[in-house]
Amino acid sequence: MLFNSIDFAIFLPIVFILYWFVTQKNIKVQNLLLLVASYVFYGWWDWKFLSLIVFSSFVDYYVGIGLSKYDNQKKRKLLLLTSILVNLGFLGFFKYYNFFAESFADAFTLLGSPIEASRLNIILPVGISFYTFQTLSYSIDVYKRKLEPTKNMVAFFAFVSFFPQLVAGPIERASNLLPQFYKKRDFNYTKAVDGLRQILWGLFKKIVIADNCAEQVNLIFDNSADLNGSSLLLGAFFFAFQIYGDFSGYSDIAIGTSRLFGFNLMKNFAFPYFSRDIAEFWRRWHISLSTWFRDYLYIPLGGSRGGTWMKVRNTFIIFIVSGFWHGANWTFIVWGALNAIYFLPLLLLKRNRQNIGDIAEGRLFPKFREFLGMVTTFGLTLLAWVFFRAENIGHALSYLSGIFSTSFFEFPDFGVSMKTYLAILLTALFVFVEWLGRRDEYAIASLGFRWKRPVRLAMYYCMILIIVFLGGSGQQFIYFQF
Amino acid sequence: MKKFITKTIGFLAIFVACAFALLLFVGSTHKFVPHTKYYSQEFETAFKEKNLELLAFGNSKLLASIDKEILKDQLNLEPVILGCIFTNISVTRLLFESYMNDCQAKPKAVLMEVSWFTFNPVRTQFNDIGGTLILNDYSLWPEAIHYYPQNMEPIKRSIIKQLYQKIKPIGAKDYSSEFKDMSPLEKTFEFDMEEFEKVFPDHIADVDDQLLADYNKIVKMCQDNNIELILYTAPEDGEYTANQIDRERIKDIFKNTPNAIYLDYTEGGEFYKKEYELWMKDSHHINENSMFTKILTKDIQTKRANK
Repeated sequence: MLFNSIDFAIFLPIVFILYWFVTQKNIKVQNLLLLVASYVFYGWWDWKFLSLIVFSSFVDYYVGIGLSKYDNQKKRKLLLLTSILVNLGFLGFFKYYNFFAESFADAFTLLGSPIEASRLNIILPVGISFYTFQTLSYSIDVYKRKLEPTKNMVAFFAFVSFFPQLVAGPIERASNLLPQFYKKRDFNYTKAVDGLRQILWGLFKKIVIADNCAEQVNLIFDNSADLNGSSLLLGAFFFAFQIYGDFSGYSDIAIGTSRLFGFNLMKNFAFPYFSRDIAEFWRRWHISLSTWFRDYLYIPLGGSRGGTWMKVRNTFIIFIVSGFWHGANWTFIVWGALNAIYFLPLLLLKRNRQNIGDIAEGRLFPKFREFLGMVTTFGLTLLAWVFFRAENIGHALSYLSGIFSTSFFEFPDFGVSMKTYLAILLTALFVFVEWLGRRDEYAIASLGFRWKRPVRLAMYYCMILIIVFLGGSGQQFIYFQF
Repeated sequence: MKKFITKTIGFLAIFVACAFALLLFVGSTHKFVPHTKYYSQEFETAFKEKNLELLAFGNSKLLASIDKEILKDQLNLEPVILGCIFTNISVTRLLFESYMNDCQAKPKAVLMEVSWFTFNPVRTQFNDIGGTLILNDYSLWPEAIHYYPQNMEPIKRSIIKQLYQKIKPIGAKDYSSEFKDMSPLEKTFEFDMEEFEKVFPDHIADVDDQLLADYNKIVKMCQDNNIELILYTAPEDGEYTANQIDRERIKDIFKNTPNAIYLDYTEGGEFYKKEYELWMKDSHHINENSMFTKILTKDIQTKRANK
């Protein structure tokens, strides 16, 4: 079920009413309702793949119980290995089998003994990268004795499949989300209104910004060989806002929806395009994934404690694995590696934590140095996004060489239309609102609070009207494919 | 909780009320915004006069092949040209239904251009005319649900256009500007396989279930109301026709339509002539509409006589 669909608009109020009016007296029944609702939400796409979530939940639930029973380190390791193998096994098979088969065949071809890759017609289950990581974090935390294993099966299954964040995150840690299933949730008016406001902003980001940019992006990337440099740059620019609007919009809707049910999810985006360097960008972009990799991969590898070589190695590993997590294509691996290259100088010069505080703190406009940092960081991410969006490495390289050509100084020639100007205008408006709200949880969290109520309501109505009338043609959330 | 629900419902109620007021404001006027995609005047005439005798339906192939005056003179019926480029058969069905709901006298005949891609949902689409119709005719609303969500964009665009038209009326524009000044004695274009394969990568147009169902509803409406149904396939370039792998399957649908006359002017068709290919402005749009309408009306009369 998509958040931007009529199905969800009907589903959400039904679950909300059942949750607060029918099952509110018994937390077990309430959790059971969330579990059923989550399975309906997921099964709406394809009920057959529900078995994967159920199986994964079963394995990690019993691994958790097993880990609490045994003190024998060998047995504990075996249990953890079971969880890792099952979760990464599913992920590896459904997401990466064809990639490895093809890469293997390509390698043989390069060595002069061509072999046929045995491809399988595999459908990638929606959200598999998200829920496998979420449930895996539980087993690892229990193994490390950072978390008490749960004996509440319904709560655990509901935690793994919690519908607001099931298919595209934020990837929650068990230590944050699971305890919320044990406690009685009380309805909080302010929290619920805030949730609705965040849902509205998420829909705006997805339908207005991402979908309008997507139309231009498809037009430019699909015909990139015939277009001039300025068109290609514009294509990369639109893609930067498409992916941001799409993914952070989903996160906003997920967080807002959770608030309606009395849950708090972690923040997933913190205005990343206002970052003053790449290190700051990665503290603000897809926070739940970055911190996941930091806690479960980077730190166990030694983090930045070792010598220079260790730092370089670990940085490359974390960025490349992060890129590979996004998709089974060399383009994602290069995207990750490129970000590692951007990040390394800051790490080696120990300047990766120089921009921790608020951007333009106490001022409306940034200082020139801050502005320069923001523009440079945005420019670097823009170039990396080309790899993220391109069909293959060749496509990305020809796209980039097209940008850095003399035709860069020509007027865009991809068929600039009213829709292009509309996308630019809406994106500019969006950046302006994001800038105004950059200190809040999300851009409109407190926007207009000093205004009179009718004016503020009028702003929300305007947003709805823009969503309805100026929204782009419905595109699926990009991160569903990851 | 009570406060939250009351306020949320109140917020939404104001929005719904405003949306309804907006629909009332832009709807019920049967105003069709002038555009080169169709003859807006013809649509407005249809819903004003309500006693027309011949309804001509179709997409750009109809508009390109029919001369209204000749049609009127030769068939001795008062016609109206209700075609629009890219229009699919679902919009045609809604258009026919909307007209029938509102007309004073039932039409005597329906002339409909049908072709290989009539049931293809990519080449023909639920376009803005469909949106305008839904806005104008509330009786179509229960039917409109069947076309969700493909009809949402046309409805939205139609609301914006109608609002814009109310602020700043758009001057007269229609499909007639699409005709080219060219000789009917020589072929003026080359078939472009790349373009063809962009729309039909496998050279198959296929039959969409919803579109077929709507076609059958048109046929049934004609039968139930004793309206003569005349189907024709306008001329096409030979190479364009030759590349249509499943054309026989689709033409069989037209040939086997009960109580209908079917005239096929494409290669292999009963009324095909090589010279028609010289009259084309591209692979499937005829330019010589007057010359062709004379031939079509003559053939209709012959076909009627032989029925």
